[in-house]
Amino acid sequence: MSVYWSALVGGMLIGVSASMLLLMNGRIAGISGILARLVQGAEISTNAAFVVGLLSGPLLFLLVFGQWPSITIISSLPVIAVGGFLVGFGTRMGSGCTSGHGVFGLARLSQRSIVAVATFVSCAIIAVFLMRTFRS
Amino acid sequence: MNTQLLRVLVSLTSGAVFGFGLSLSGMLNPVRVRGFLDITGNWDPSLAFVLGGAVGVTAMAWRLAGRFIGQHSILASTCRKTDQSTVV
Repeated sequence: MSVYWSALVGGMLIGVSASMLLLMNGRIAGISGILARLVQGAEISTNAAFVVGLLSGPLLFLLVFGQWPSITIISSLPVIAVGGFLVGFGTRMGSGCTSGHGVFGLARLSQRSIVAVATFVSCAIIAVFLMRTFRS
Repeated sequence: MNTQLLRVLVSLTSGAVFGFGLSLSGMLNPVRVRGFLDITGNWDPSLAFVLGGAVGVTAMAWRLAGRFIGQHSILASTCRKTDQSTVV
């Protein structure tokens, strides 16, 4: 399967996941929101179940394809830690992350989400450009 | 089976499908995500296919939810769809 096909099918599965959660449970599959509510102790059983399922995803991939999904880490641990903190802070401040705003917000044509996605994608493009310029 | 248990099972399955889809899409790999953002370098458009697939399927579910379920979802009396103030 070419990388674009696996990207498309993988994306559609993410859509199926979000659809299930909406139609059955009436909840939005926003990862940062689910994790935040779990940490705050709200709806613990369903939110914990989602996170456990999410973490089992790579294991299912291993069972189906006989290898772990490939992950290449090129950044140092301190850079990853700072990046993780900024992502966590920013997603809470912006009321959502790639899944909530990117998948769900765009699917329902939410103006707030369209602004959020345009903002974080363009800032990330600038950040990657700056990292590339100043590193080399 | 009681409704709460069903809700937990739906959440578990939904999470697993999300995690498997994310693994299959290649976007667990930060290098692939970075490749999409690196428009002046060796651009990798994969993330657009991932987002396109996910948004397309979810948009259909959104329409379905509006038409058939209205203010309620199948297993919960409240649905986030009608609560515009919610944090996603």
